[in-house]
Amino acid sequence: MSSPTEAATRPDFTTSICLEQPLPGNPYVAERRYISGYNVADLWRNCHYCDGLLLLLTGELPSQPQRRLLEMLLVGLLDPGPRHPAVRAAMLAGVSKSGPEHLLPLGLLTGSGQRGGALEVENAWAFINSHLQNDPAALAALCLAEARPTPGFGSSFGAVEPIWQRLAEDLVAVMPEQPVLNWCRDFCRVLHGQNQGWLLPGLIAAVGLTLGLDARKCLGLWQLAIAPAVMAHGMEQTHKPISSNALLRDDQYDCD
Amino acid sequence: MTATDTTFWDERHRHIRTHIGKWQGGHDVRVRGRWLLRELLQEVSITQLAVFNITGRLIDKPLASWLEKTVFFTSYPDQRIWCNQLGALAGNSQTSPVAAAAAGILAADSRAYGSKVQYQTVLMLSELQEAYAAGAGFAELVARFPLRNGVPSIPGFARPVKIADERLEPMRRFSAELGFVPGPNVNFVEGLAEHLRVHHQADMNAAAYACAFLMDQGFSALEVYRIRTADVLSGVLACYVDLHDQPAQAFLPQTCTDVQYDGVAPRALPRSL
Repeated sequence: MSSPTEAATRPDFTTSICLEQPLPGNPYVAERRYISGYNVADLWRNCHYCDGLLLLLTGELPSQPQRRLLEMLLVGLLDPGPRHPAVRAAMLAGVSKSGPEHLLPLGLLTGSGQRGGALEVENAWAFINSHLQNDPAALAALCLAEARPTPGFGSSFGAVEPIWQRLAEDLVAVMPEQPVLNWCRDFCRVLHGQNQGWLLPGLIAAVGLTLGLDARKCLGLWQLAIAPAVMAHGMEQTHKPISSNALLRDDQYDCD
Repeated sequence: MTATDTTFWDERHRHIRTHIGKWQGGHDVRVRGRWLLRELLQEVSITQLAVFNITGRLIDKPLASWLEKTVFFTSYPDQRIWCNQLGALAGNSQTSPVAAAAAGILAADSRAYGSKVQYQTVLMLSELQEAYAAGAGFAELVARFPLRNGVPSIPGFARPVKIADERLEPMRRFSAELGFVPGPNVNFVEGLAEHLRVHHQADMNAAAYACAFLMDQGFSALEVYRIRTADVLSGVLACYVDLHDQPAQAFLPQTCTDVQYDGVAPRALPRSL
């Protein structure tokens, strides 16, 4: 434990993201707030949301293609569909009258796992990052032959997810010279032969790597990206009667 | 600009003042005026400690046993129960067990079941008891509630008489075995339930009985809410565990049309966009 003098002078946290300048006469209130050196008032008057988001995550405002890439990703992931586990969890909770303030957090918690969730994004980031020097087609063939795990890539219900493949093609077109996206595209071309391809966590990881985000920030970006759908679908269900989501009957439920 | 009087915040700036507890490193832990390791560790169960932490009351062992046994009724490992479905989805997505537990507990903070219902039931029973003591009859009390499918919609009493709550008799029995005598609140809900059975084909459920029992033990609505926070935990985790090692997308897989769309038909974006 620190000495009383050290404790009095040591900061509670250090951050390179946000500076707050206190209001004269009341140091608990900020008169001005800066994100990586930019006054937030200048940002809200002049910037796109994605500019501010990338400023928060990287410390610099993005280039126009970087902003477009992130924006396309976020729009593409606005709604991963009502059957996605995170969205479905929020819908279940909404219809069963859980507190509406809980729907977004519980959806994100349910969708935080290693299968299609936030932790798979982190694993996908590591997978892609560690293999960027390998030939993607050869690696894909090896992974298929040896049934190696390929976090961020695979099949859904035994098939390639067509929506994510189309989004990936459009993302690559935004930054066609970008090596990470091209590597992933070439990796997927081989996977397609076995009904596999881009999965949602792989898309986030590839875009995150392209934008210079580390694995943890990509994980968080994924949660942010699906949050609108989790929230919207969950809230919609709060207005429906609990009976609209009938429980399975006893004859549909076996337990030995 | 006038300077704000910040004395209240200055007194708390980098300084905590509390009666709740403090870890005294290498020595012991203070818990509401008692020593955790020297005293409580030898004297009390985890439930007694939890209630002590939450309410400041050091309850006796029979009441702690009663609370533990009622958790049997709130943590059925049935995968159809909503909070357990979240546990199953989380398990099949291979989230951490802690995330699954937190999601399930959050889901059970519901107006339809779980901890919030018990909070609302205690509040409602307090009001009804007050009116009853002031001379209102059961019929008058029941008339305050809207009818749903012909049955008064009273928190804790939403049970058709044909399907008795399987938890009630065991709860009555172990309450007696633990030495508890029905108090005014339990007697009140038993009377109200009898009225509902005779006149409305409805009955109370275990939540009403349990809430009345806890009211007789002197707990407030907020204390019941806080004590009951994690009651669904073991059921959620049971469903989590069951699905964790099953193949991906194994829990009640849904086809696209299992979710019925009733919105605007697919259309093109406006040209002006």
